[in-house]
Amino acid sequence: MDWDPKDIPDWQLLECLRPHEGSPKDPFMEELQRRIAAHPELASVWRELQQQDVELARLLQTVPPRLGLEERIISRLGTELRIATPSGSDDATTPDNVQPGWVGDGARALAGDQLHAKRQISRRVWIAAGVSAICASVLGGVGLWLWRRRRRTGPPSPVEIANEVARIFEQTLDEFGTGQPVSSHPPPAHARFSREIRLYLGSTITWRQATVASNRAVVFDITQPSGERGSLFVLTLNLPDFPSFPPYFPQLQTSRTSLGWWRESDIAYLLAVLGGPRVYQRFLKPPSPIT
Amino acid sequence: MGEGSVPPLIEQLVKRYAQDVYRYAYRLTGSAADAEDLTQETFLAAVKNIHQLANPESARSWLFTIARNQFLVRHRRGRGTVVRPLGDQAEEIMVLESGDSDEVDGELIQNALNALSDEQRVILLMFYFEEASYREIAEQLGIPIGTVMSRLSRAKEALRKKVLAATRQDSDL
Repeated sequence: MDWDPKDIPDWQLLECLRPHEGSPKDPFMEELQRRIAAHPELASVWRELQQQDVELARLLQTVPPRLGLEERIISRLGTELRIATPSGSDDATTPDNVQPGWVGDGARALAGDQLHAKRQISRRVWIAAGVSAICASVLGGVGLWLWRRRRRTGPPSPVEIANEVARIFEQTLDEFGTGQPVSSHPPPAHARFSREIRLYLGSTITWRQATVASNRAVVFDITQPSGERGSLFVLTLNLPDFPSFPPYFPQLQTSRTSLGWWRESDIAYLLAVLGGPRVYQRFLKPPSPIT
Repeated sequence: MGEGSVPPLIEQLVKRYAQDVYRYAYRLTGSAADAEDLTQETFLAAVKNIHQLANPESARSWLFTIARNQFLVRHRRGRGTVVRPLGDQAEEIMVLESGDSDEVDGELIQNALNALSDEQRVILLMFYFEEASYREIAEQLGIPIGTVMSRLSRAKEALRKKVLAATRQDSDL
């Protein structure tokens, strides 16, 4: 249905049209200009609305950055691409306005590469199968050696672990506090609770298990009497890059969570709390005075 | 981290636009966790349909379009992305104690956005975030220009009223 610009009320034209966009021959813009000529006071209203729009746009675009987001996306894409089957693409989520033939130079090169790669897959599979049949035992041995070497020499970095813990913490908030009460069901002996955590009269602690960077972890869910919530992730893992005491300021923050990490001998601790640095600090014993 | 298996163009897109898409998703969903989910799903869909990207320079708006469609599809299916009332956001607001006024204003505006309908929120973000014209909004959403003008002007008015009311309430405290 075509709309006649004359049918649009003044305030709608003033709200929806920006002076710099579109052609002056746009029928709606022409109509607005005609009304402004007839009622010059509309011009100042329009100017004021434009100024308010600039401020609202600025506020809307001001969102704290999400730390580690790029790494998590790339990691997930890597996983999805590895497990994806080569057939078909899921068009259900594509923009509705995208035309089937809308393929540009930049993307075409990539799409071409991907198509070529798919054609190569079956040939490569046959070659790889032949080679692997001959060399299976050698490759198996080398693979095992590399795997062991990687396990020994490539522990995940603190930031990788912290990002994963932050993700697990935020995604399992529904499970927070639903584990076993520490008082009646003690956690495994290797998962020692940290002496650096500050508890108050009335603090409650439950524990549950989780997997962090392919390692089993025990998670202590702590609810302070104030209602503040935090989880202490305990990993029996020697991580020399972790500091030997908890940092007073969180090393990682998302818009909901503050997170810090440290180690006590061969146990790694990651404290994730719901809230900002002050909440995080209230979960830690105050630092000892330097003597 | 599995980065080696991600094509370089995709990796560039992620590094360049992930935070932009996240900001957009945050304003759409109203929560950091849902916004991250939506951002990840947006890039997954983008990878699957990368051949549809006509011009890498228009990647930002292409990604916004995918994010918006993903958001609307989710809502139509009735899963996830529940916009919560102010009470549930108390913990997030605590983060603002340290007092960056932009962040506080950002929360005010988010609460105002959350009170709008999905359609109003989408149309407002297209106008303010994507800087789309009324004509582009009509084309992308497939609705008549008059409907866009009516919805957009009402949504802007509602947002302005709620922001002003919240600002006044804030200054009265």
